[in-house]
Amino acid sequence: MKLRVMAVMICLVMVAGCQKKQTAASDLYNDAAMVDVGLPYPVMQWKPLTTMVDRGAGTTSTLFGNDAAVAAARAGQSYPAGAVLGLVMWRQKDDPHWFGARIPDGPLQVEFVEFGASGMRYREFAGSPMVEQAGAQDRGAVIAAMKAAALP
Amino acid sequence: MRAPRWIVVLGVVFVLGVAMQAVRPSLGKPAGSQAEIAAPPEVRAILQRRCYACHSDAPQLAWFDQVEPAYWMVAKDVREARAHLNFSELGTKPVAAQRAELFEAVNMIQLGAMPLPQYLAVHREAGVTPEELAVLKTWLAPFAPVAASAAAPVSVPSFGERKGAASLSLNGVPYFPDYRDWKVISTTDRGDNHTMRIITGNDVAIRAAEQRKISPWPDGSVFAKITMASSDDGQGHVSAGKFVQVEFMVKDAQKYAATQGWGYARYKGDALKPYGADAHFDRECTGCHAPMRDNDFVYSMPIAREVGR
Repeated sequence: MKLRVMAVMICLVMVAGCQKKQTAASDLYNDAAMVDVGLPYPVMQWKPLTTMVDRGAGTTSTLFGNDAAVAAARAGQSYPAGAVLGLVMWRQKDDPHWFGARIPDGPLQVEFVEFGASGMRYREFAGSPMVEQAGAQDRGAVIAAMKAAALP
Repeated sequence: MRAPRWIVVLGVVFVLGVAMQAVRPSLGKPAGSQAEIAAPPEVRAILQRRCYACHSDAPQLAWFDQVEPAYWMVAKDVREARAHLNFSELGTKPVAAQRAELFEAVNMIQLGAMPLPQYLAVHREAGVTPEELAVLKTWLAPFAPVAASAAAPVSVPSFGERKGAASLSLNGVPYFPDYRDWKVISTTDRGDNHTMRIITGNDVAIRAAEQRKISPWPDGSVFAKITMASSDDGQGHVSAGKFVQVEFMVKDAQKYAATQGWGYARYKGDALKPYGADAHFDRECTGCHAPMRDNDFVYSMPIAREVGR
């Protein structure tokens, strides 16, 4: 009798040991940081140009560009008509996996700079879901002056 | 009158047990230069209490650690521990390297990888308490404000032509020149070493993130972790400066079975010089990534993406 109980216990332990632990989605994906898909451009599909942090505001931003913008930024040339820059700003949070690191939390705003034949147009989207902000302060020149990180 | 068999067996076991005690691998001081880190007394006390038992030149062993065959295992563990991190000699390293090791140590504690679970099973009181961990973290202060006087001017070099790596990583993990054209997995702001990172992923990795099929990541996934020096203007505006290195993780469960299914490489500086002294340098990578086994050894959580376009 005792032997049988023991055998069953051993089997249970062995089976339990083979079960792959399911990791919670919240520990696999940064869902909070997802950027709205309803924006005029698919900014998260673009190539990154540089990244920055504002300690006082507790935000982290990454500058993206469409292909025309990336080519110009990397060549150090002025942006041609058709180039679009996108600056995504997130709140920061501590990286749950690494003390000493901070990662994006919820997105706060996305700014676009559209370059045309007659100059540039600045557009700001904010809120949740993100909506275009009328009368936002024009930061087009500030964003256009950001340099692409030099990557070999 | 012969002794019963069990007496004989017991006698043989006893004699062997005693004989075993004579075989003692040495744990004497290695011939390294001795220097401890500069730290406040409460920090040193925690490190001495919790880490020095294995990670120092003066290992402290309980009486039951000294008995064979336990001692053989303990001796092996202590030698391995010291090779990885030795607090008796950490002070001889450059300050940045000391800091990197201390952050790794604190993170291994936080991830439950240190002290070793098998060590804790026997030495029940040896674990780092939450209060002790908080003291270590407060002391390390990764995001302490930078004084305006210490602010470094930002210099962003101009973008050069795409180059290949100087040579191949010693473990054979290739260099991927397209890394800067890949899509973004995430970014990290590293206060521990004053860098900023952009993590990009190749199409296989991005598709897996879009379809939420990353447990495990599919074969063919490649990540690039692009590291740039960060500079603070003294007002808390931190920007990405000079390129430091790009690191790759390449998933191939069969090819890289010996290193947890991932090929690791690091290419440093504008010359993209492969890191590592020999083909086994990647033990450093796997050692640090081991606590993330439930996340397929990947630290970065991809920013959630819309499903495949």
